[in-house]
Amino acid sequence: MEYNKFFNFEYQASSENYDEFVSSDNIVRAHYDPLSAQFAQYKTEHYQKFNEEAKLVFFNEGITFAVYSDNPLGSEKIFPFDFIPRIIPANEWNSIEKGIVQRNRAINEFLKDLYHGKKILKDGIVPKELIYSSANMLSVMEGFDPIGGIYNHISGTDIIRHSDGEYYVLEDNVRCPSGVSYVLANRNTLKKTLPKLFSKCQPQPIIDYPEKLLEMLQSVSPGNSHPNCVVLSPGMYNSAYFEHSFLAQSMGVELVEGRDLFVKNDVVYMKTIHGSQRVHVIYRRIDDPFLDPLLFNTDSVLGTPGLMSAYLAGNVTLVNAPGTGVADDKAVYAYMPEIIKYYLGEEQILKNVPTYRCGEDDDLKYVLENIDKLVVKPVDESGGYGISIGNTLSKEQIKEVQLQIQQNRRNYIAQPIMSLSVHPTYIEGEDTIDSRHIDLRTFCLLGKSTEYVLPGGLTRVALKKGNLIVNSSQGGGSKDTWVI
Amino acid sequence: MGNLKIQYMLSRIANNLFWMGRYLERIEHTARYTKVNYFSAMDAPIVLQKDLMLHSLLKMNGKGLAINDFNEQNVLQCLSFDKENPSSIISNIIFARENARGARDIISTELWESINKYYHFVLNYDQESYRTTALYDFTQNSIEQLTIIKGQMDGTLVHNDAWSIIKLGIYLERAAQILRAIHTKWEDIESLKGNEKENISILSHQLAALMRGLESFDMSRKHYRRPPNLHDSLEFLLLNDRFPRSVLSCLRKVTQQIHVISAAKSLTKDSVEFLANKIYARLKHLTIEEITEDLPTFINKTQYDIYLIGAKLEEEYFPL
Repeated sequence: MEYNKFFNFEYQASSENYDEFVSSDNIVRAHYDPLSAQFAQYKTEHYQKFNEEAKLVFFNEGITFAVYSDNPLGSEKIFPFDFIPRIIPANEWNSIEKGIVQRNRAINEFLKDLYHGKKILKDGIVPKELIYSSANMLSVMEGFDPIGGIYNHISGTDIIRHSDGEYYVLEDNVRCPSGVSYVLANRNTLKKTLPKLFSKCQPQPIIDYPEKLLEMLQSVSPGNSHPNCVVLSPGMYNSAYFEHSFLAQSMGVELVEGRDLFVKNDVVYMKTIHGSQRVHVIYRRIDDPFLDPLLFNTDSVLGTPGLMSAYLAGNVTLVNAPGTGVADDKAVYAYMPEIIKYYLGEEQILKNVPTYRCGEDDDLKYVLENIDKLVVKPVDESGGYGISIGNTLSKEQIKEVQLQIQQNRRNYIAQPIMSLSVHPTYIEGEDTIDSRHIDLRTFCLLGKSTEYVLPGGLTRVALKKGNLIVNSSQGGGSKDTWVI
Repeated sequence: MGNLKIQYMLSRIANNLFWMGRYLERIEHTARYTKVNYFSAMDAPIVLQKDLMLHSLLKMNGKGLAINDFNEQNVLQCLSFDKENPSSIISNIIFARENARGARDIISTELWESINKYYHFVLNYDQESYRTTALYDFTQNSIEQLTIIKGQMDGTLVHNDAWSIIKLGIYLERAAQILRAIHTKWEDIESLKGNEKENISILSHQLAALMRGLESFDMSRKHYRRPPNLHDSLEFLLLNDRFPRSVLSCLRKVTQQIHVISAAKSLTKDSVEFLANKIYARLKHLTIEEITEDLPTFINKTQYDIYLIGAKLEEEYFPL
């Protein structure tokens, strides 16, 4: 099918980026054929209608996120949703899935090693300074064995497709990766909006994620046949509160806040209307520094005093384990190919983006001279904050970035400007369909002898033309992702 | 999976749900009282009714306005859309939704959506048109959406502790609102007293508004087979155990729901269950003649009893 008959729009394939939908000679890629045929029947009015319907579903269901610094009331926003799904062929997905499991298994081994013998440092594979200078290395975790030997129970690996058509891992997230509730909400919404297309394409189901999550949580319980698992949230003003409550509700477990819990004799209980109830597994959506005011941030009211000591006594499992942040540091990322090889004896399945580490002299020199061609990132910021993209900077801005890097070398890495692939996206207000950059947040569960990767994941789309930053806090939206 | 009768209801969540029930019930009463009295004032026997009606609306809502601010538009605005007024409809739906959001994982998607939908309805309502032409539309829609919310509550929640606690909030608040409506109307009637002939028509007009404001006009007429009089109306609203908008019926349901949640505990003299049973039993054995000997004192006393049950319930089951 010719591209320009599709969508009834002049859909312009991108020349410099990989277009997920059409090939460089403007032919619709085979796995998009059914979608393309279906959409060819629609007109502008249909698109407006789909868009409105989808928005209404989100609105009524209260599927929202909050943006920091807004006032508590009226600060909830609908996560922009694009009704044109992104399709990944099953054969491509199989290899992505293997790559994700491989990577997160290796990270788990890496963490186990860092908190025990530190062999990888002794063998000189990963430089000691990199680890010892990391604020995310938790000394209290030294020598502790989490149940099932699992640290990163839930990992969110971010993947992009570069202009060469290959998938690359952009980031590992092994602290509290978020976004999975939007995957499920997107699917739910799109089912209501485009039911016909669904029965035609039959994407791999994702509906059993909450079940798999609960199964994983139960698998790491400290010895109880009916473990009480809970989701620990900072509360309803947190930007991801919808997700916290969604996960608790869909697993059928309690959503608790730090003030609902207390610790007595190193055992964790929750306060219920009939007294206290023991808690075995805590899926915590609170960062390490806020978990326990006795050990970390003393003025934090989000956590529960004594929680860490109960954890270290083996009476409760925290998911993910404290101290995982040392492994998803962007400076450690550069060593992932070596880390995989070291622990698993395998070559990496998913590629790593070449990374320059400003802590190293040669790399620093190259980075300072080539800032206009590089993306410079602080190693410890999330949500796309603090990133500078070389080809968008003025001369003064380049100088500024150079200065920043030199002031704190260890804190920065740089990567070539990767070109995120593009995908047809409905543009609200203009009522057209145009190409926009996308990435993919995947979700991987590791339990005691269980593993699971959610088929597809969260495709994030940068709604501003030409924009490469897809985070929701920076004006990004999302798409349903189909593995077919 | 034998032993699943474990109670996991968090105290904080219980508190959220209890107050969610109370806020939702308040909305319904504010909307209905406003609608009924506003329109009934239009066919009142004496002309001076409008100001009195507006004062009555404020009294029912428990809100005063400065003399200078007292006009129709301000009163209507204050009751429905004034966020500074904690008893306004908008404040109550904001509170109720916030509590529902805090217990999002406990309540059903259907219940949450119905609350969320009504919240957006209120927040996006054209306030200017409400103050001038759309009072009926706004209040009627509010009443209907509240009915849907309650339908979802009863139809989609498991009738477990969570449900019982929401219902406790609703019944306690309803009992309080019925008493408040009677009290307010009683004062309206007193303040309108004139010659005997006028009094009869004022009384029947005000009683009709009272009964309609509590959706009890038709049913009481059916029950007594004559137009409302003071004796019948009060008996119906206070003591008819089979009418869901009577104080006695609300208190009976309060005792029943407390019994459900307290099933795990033994009944002691200082428990809220004991207190609620005692208050219910006392009311059950009063006659309307005894009550009307001194209606204001009876109302005060019963309002205080209801306050006590609420306070003790919070203290015993969900202290914050």
